[in-house]
Amino acid sequence: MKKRWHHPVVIMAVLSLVLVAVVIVSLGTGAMTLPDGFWQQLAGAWLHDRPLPDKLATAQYVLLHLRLPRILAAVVVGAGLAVAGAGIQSLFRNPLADPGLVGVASGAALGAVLVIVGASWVGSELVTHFYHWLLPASAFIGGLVATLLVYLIAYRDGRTSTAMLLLAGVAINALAGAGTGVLTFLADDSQLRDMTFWSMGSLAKVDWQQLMIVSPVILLSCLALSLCGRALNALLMGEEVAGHIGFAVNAIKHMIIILATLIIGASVAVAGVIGFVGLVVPHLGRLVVGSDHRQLVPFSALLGALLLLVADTLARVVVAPAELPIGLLMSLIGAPFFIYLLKRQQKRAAYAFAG
Amino acid sequence: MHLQAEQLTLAKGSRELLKDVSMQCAAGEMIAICGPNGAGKSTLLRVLSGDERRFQGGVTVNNRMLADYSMAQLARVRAVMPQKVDMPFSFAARDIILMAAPPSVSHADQGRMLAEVGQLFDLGPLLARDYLHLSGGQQQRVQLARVVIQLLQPSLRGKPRFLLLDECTSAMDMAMQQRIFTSLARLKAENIGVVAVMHDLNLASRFADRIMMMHEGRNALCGAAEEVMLPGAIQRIFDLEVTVMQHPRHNCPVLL
Repeated sequence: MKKRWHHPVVIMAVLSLVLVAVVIVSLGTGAMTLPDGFWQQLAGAWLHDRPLPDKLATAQYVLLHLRLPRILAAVVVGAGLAVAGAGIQSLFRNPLADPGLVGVASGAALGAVLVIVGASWVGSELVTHFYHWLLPASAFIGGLVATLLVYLIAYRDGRTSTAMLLLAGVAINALAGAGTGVLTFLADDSQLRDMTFWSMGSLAKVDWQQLMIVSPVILLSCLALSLCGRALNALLMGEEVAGHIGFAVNAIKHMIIILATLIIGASVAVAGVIGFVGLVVPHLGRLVVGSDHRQLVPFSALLGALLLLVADTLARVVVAPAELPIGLLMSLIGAPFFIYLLKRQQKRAAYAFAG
Repeated sequence: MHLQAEQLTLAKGSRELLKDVSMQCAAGEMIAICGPNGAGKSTLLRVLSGDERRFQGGVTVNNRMLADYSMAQLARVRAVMPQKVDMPFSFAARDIILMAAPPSVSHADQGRMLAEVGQLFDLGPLLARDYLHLSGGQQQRVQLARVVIQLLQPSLRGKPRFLLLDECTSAMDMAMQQRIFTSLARLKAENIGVVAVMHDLNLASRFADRIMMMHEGRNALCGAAEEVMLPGAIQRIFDLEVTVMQHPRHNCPVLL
């Protein structure tokens, strides 16, 4: 039925190679140009265990401690956001559902802003000292608390109604948004700049330590979601049908929500709010490999990683030595492209949206 | 072995949807549940399938309480076709059908099962088509195949199983309805019991072993077609005057 080069495995293999290539290219690009013959000298120094000349040592430092963690963070966060998006879209049976629906992102934003503004009120040495850690931790906890609230509102008699989940999400999003708004009103100029940086998303501040904490959370959650492709497929026909087929529907719903929240909470903690990846990538994935989650989830992970890495590399390069907020760039490129896709689909009328 | 309901009562608010309903379906038997709109047919099916759990009375499947089954265990003794399945994502029809085949079933067996339901429900070239591009009746056939394939795994062969169907041919033309019910009747030989909610009494008369007539939440009348399709009973339940005749070839009563 399908041509051989269309096979999902082939497509994913190609995409993986492209991702590796982009990682290498991205390592070599940035505000600092690498000195001539850098790679040969570096390889030579490593192979023969020679000390590096100063100029190369600086370059090596930039590569290893600034670019590499940032590139890996882009890969991990991009993959995570895309997989979380695919999971949430399956849960809500709607290709236009966004991971933000369950309140994680707005809760995380509130948590972050609370630390940014609150730190100066408390003003103690301790807070200033741990600010670097307090911010992502508070964002992560804010995301979890918001989702937990949404969840508790929708929960009744051992079941969670998906419609209630959606409505509770709207309410909690509004509430968290209002909280963030009040704090914005109270913030001073430098705090406002910090908040903007946060709300527009950026990978600029990711270091190895953060990456090491966040990556296992995101990658294991992605792995878990990609292992329940059959359940995600069955959910598309509705919770009752999935139950008839034999899936423990409630347990699976809880799992999707928990995993998506962990992924998004961890992502927002290190990179701020980056929209559009979770919405657009699974959608693109369906056009390429189809709706079957056994292929769609791993494909989305690869595509999300690639997309965010390309966007982040552009963000670093376009206006170097300054840089664009990546969330801004994603929306700037993503939104028009998404509209184009929607219109093309509308023309073909080959795709029914959940109604 | 049986699917059995005893003295089911179910109320939503002040409205009693089921009142003291008892019924039984043996494995290998086909029962049609008929009755006017709002008589409680679908509610009864939802109770039997385990979707509706807040009821009084008892349901047993093969002598075991329904509540004692896990979802996965239940899926091995009964399959359910709801009145409407809303599937907003694009899939090949064959992939929809195979969603009901657990991963423990080998690839070769899946192929055999697919061929079997494909033949039962006349799917042939439809299998490779996009589900979203099929007509309502064709989608219904695909869903029916999905429901039936769940009970056709090699490890379940010959065991007592049940099919619960809620108006499973409502979007099909007359000829297709007859073909589908002929195929469903063949499943009885597999030790599968069929409980089918349906509106067409003539179809029920021809294919079902027994007809259960529901009226205002009660099991009003239950028995072979000859015992149920009586002008007086139809008049009382449907408030409709009818003539009942014997079908010249199929040897069953028909309504005019």
